[in-house]
Amino acid sequence: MEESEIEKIKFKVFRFNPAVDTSPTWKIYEVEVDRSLTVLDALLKIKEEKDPSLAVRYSCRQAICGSCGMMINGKQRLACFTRVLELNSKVVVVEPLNNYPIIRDLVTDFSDLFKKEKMVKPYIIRDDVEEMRNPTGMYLQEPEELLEYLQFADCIECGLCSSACPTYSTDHLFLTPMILNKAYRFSVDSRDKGLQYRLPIIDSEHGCWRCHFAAACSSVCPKGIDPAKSIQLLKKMVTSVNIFKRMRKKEVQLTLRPHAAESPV
Amino acid sequence: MKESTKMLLHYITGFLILITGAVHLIANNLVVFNWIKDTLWYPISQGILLAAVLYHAMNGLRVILVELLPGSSSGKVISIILIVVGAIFFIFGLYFLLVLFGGW
Repeated sequence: MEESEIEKIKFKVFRFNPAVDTSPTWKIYEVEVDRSLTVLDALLKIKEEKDPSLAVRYSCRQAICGSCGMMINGKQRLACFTRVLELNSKVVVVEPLNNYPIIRDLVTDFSDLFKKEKMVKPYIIRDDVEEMRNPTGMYLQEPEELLEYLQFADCIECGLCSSACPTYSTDHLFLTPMILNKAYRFSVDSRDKGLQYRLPIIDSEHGCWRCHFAAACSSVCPKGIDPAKSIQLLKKMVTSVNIFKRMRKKEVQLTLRPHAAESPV
Repeated sequence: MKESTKMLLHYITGFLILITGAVHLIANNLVVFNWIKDTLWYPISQGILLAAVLYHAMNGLRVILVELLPGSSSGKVISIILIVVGAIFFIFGLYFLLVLFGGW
């Protein structure tokens, strides 16, 4: 690699250990970066070479696990998905995600999100129990049925959307874009029959109606999902079911497997 | 009442405010449309305007307060207070409408 491709960039990193510190502090580290270096690589370099006490959460390093979400120069981003030189800044400010309790330094606590996720039952619910236990066929979907939820199924649960949400910053009981997107993804699926079980929580005081369509969630999503859109569609779905007592969803039919009756299950 | 019903009513009252508010402004500010005030529909539209404005305003306040003061029981307390305040304003407004149009 040529010498000219390497730049010295200052990293201003948020440091706070709630168990020991009374208030947060900022530490500045200088790192030599090339054009391939991501913010996560730089933070790990700091951890290895300069300050081993720095706490960072990461896993896959390729924007799949959603572990390394943090505020980078004031915006919610995945550290592994953000190249340092793309930020066009001589100083990179790294902070923990907004709206979540801090565990330590850049690591935030998602337990509130996961608790809320359980409440909306993020899985396909069906009433044909016997078919679920002893399957005789498949629920084949039309391409347009798949398109209804495909975009919203890409969520990696990184929590960036909920961190950017202005409603969640004041109302900690709000279900948040990540959870509402999950609820819509499963409710719109033609194989699912579980909306009635999700309705009491989605249509509650802190459910989908508290979204004011600021769309900050959609602007920060690293997977290009549009949670703001899914929440508006969820509102439409809830209104159709609750007030007009009708569901637009087409029910998917069971397609029997050939020779299903003869083959042992 | 379900949250979706409350919010649907919020949108419907918003639309009603647009219509009845326009009737109110036109009838009171354009001389050529002064005759609207002599029809039976005018006091009815003003009654609808009063009810719609109060519901829309009180529900809007409820939404703001529920977000600013989240809590397991705060929503209920906020709703009760706003229903009482809204009812007082409605009775007061209705009395004025009856004095104006009903000859009380």
